[in-house]
Amino acid sequence: MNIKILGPGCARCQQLEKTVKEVVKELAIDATVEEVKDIKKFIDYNVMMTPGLVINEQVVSFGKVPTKAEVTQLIINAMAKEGQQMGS
Amino acid sequence: MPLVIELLTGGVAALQDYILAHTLTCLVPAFFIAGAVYALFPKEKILRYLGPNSPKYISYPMSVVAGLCLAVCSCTVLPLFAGIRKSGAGIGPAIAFLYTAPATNILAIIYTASLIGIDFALARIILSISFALIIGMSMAALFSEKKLAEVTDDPPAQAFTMNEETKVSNWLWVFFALLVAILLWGASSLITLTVKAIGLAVLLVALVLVVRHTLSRDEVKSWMKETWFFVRSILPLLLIGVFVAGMLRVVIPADFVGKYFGSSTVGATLAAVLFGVVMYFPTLVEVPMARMFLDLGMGKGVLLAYLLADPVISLPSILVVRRFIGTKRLFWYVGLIIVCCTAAGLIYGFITSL
Repeated sequence: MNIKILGPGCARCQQLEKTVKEVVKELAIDATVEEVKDIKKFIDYNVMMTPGLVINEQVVSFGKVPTKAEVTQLIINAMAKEGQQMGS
Repeated sequence: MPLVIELLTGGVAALQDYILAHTLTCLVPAFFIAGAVYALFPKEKILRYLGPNSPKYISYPMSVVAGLCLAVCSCTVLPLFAGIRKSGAGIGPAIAFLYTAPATNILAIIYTASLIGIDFALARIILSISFALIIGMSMAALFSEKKLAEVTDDPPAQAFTMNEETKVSNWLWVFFALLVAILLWGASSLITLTVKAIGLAVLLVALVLVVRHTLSRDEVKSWMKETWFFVRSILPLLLIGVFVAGMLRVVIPADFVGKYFGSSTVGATLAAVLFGVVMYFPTLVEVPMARMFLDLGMGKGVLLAYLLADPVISLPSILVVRRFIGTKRLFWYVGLIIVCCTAAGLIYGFITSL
């Protein structure tokens, strides 16, 4: 699973990164978590309001810092999708 | 030694003044409003209009609305700017947004109204919006950018929207209206204290009822979190800024300010604008600085010019924006800002002296 956090590095983006890393650890899944700080790079995702959360190249959240519960749900959803894709 | 004591007293006096007079009635509701707007304002409703197919008479006003309501946190200004520009609305609306966002920061406007005067706050909003549109449209005229849609084969990017179906309850607007009502009622100097207290109690009860009806637990949590985030990141620096302004008040000679900046001359106004353009103050600090200048005798027009120019741009932000639009456009952007703010200051100074 590939998780990207889009944001120029402000406090909210760092908070999101921390939350995501925590959740990844707790769920014990194999995921890379990267921060994309260069605005020119993350414009391609059409995320206009930071922080943005991208899982497996899909934007799942933007413009706010999702709670840990929300992040967990988003990651679980993404895992389910991955499972489906592999199964079919 | 006496100077140090004077400085400290000056700083403390400013803090006292500030804390007693303005915190409760003005800043507390203001932070809650800012938090509510950031957490709960339906962003998709606005972003939807900033795509490539929006006609100019929609994309320009919408960029201004975006600046008013979406960019409450300064960190999101640049991504939004880049997004608006790239998504096809073009550099015009993008610049209009870039200007509006810091210029009409909700907290700053409220604080300006409280600390300096409603006339200044109103002038700040109205003029900032006008300038945003003027400067945006000028830039678009000067630098017509080939729409990115025509250059690539991909369909033009649309601002990412999560769920197209998000319905916004009318009660949400009632909620926002109540918050504003609480602010205005609490801060108003026209009502007696008893009437104020009763009115506030009523409004607060109404607010609680509306919140229980309209907002989910998560939304309320989100609202509180964002409000606290603003308080945590802005208030400490603001207090320091107020303290420093208090100290400077003691140190800067009033006759110097009165003599050179007391009346709206072109020189004084231009100097004030340039000072605002170059100087960087943390969010909200430009307001107590302006108050200090006012107390020292700066003319109203000159002060307005400074207040319009300072939040919009600063030396650090000039350097960052330059990476996005290039030196030539930057030159024009800053130039247009200087011209508009100076003109506004001169006109306001003229009007208030009539």
